Amino acid sequence: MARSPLALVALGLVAAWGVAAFSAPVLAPHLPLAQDIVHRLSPPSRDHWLGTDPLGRDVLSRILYGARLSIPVGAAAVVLAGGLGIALGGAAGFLGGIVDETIMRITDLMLAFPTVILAMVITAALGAGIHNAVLAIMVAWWPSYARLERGLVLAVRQREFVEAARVLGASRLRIALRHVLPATISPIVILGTLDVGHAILTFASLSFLGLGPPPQVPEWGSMIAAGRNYLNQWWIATFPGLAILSLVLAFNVVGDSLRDLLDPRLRRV
Amino acid sequence: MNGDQGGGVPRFNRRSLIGLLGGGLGYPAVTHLLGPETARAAAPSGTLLVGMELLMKSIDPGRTIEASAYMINHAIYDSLVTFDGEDLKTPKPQLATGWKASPDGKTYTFTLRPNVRFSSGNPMTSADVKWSLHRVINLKANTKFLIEGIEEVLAPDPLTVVVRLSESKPSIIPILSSPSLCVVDSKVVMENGGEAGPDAKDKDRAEPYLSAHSAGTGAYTLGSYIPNQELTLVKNPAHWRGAPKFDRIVIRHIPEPATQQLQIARGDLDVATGIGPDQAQVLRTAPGVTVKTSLIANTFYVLMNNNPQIGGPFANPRVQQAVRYALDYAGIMAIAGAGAQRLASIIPNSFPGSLDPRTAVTTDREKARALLREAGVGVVRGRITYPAGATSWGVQVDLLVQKIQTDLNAVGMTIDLNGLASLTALQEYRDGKNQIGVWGWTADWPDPSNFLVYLPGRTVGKRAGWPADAGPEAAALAKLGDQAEREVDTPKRVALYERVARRIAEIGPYAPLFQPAVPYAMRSNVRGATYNSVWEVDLYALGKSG
Repeated sequence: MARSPLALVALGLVAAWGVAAFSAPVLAPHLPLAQDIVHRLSPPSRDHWLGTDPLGRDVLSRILYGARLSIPVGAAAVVLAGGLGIALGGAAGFLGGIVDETIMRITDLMLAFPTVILAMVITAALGAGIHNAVLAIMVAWWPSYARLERGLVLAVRQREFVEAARVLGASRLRIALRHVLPATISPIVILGTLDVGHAILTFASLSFLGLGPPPQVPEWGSMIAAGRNYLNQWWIATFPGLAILSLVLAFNVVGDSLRDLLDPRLRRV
Repeated sequence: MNGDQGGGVPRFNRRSLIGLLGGGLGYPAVTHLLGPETARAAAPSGTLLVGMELLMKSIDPGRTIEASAYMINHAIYDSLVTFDGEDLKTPKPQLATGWKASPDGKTYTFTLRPNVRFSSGNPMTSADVKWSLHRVINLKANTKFLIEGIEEVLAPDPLTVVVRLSESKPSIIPILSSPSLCVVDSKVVMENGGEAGPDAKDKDRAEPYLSAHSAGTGAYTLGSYIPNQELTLVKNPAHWRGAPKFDRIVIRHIPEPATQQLQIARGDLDVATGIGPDQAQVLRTAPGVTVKTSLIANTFYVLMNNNPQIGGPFANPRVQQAVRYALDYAGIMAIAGAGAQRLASIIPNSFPGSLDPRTAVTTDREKARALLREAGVGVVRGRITYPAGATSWGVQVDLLVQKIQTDLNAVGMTIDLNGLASLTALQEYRDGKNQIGVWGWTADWPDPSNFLVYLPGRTVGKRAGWPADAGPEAAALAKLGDQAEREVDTPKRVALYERVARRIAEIGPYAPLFQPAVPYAMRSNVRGATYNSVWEVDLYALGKSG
């Protein structure tokens, strides 16, 4: 990674967004919910660097506070989807037989649905909100982790060190948790890193469609939705859009570089 | 709904394709696909292109009360009575040349206009009027509230209609201007499944026919209708007022205000009725575009449920009072946009019986906080239910509720926003399940009597958990409302309505906000555009110069 300047820039961007999210209360020039009706729809100026929205709220402050929501939500969705996928995929690969068949057919069924549409159906059914959006992303995404984990487990359980553990009399649970699972974790981490950006984008899409948090909550997707009716006040939708673009792109590049770094075959080349 | 007409995305694609291959809908399909210059060249001066949000379940006059259906039906059909342009105070003759009320106000006799023919060629007679009104009475559809109080309709001779009421009801004249109560060609509609008898509710099968054809005396006839997509009107050359100015009117369903803004600015539309105040602001400086605003007979208000089980702290009269003082009306008016007017009560300022807006409650946060302390209900927490993403008469409801949330938070209340899909939110409102709601009532007919719905025990009153037996004050107010409704003498009537309005403003579980003004835009060569809140733009009056 150190040799790739692009990866460094991306890592820097992710770190910068992390800092921005963490210290938004200090960095933001205004409160994200403070309305100033008199100065609604003002273009970028010294007072409002990125302009104001239809209720006179500061776009920059809302973007900074939006990062506080988007990054944890993206990470949480991926951790939950990954956890569920590892558990189910691991069980399928390790136990085999009817358990494997059942879990993998359910996985196939889930994979047959387009993920965003599935997430939309889930949030529409459960009601809009942050928790339900995270839940929807988790439900829509666990199958790809389950697939990956199952394949890895199948490959690892044939290896000598697993045989050795079995010969030494280790229990099945101990073999699964102490020997098989750790050997499968790095590809999952790579997929997870790539997916955080993707999850942030999906969460923003759900909010854009009105399936995310209520409208007053600073969130990038709903900020873009609010800007849709204001084509001449371009700053309302453009800046949150750029925020999503930079963060998602950065996560993707970091994920890619991480794969290059951790994949032994690529490293040798 | 006619199965063949059921819109949807795949159908749209197929129709467009057929259009490109030279099918019947070729023209609209082509303008969708080609650039602005070609589209402008393709619009001959005999065609008018209108962009609006076609929000309606039906265009069968007996089964629809939606404003967009009214705009179309007002062009296809005529009623006994009408209003001219933007004036909603003076009823004008249309298919009736005159009318007379009996001294007890219970019988109205209408003289019909002679030599009027339907687009089918059939002559229009009193039998058609009687049949049309009886169909609405017996359909018992969503239009039934319009004909409440009509006991029977008689047709003693071909040019005389007698309407008998169960009790005096002077608002019957403005009510009869409703496009729902238009006169349809009874012969044609009967041939196509129409039924006006007592069992019309089950036996009438005319809705599919009336969704694809028209059977009226109006200036235009229905050419085609694809729900959620497009509707075309075709000139009726034999119209009794003289043929209209356009051969065709194409009405496109364009729900997004920003899209309408772009299209009218480029010249892809001649008239756009679905823009909001913020788009209008931009269009005012666009070359070749004229923007007008029209005050709408609608009252926006905040509902606070008076039923303690649903309203919680908001059922407390002091909390309700505190809400009225907590709102920042100047800010709310900025969201409502140019032309909107502050309301002191729930009767629109353009109607007799309304209160002077200068007597409206003004913002006083200290007073609101004091009232909350007096109420002694502890933490005031509530939830505003509203249709998420909806634009109502140009007002973005999302913005309005966020403003109200912030204002109420500022005096120490905790307010959550509960945005629901429009139909779900509407159902919850109609069922009286909103703890707090932000809604409006639009006049179904241009008369203050329509706004008595806010009284305890009536439509909106019930939705706000305010029954007529809520208490001695509510009971007295309900009685006063009944008295206003029956009064025939005009000055007395106006005074009674003013008393009702003042009392509702004082004790009603509402915070009256504003009367909206709808901006609409047209290309500068469009002439004669007027807008009223019952049937929006009068299409017959439109023309184009150059």
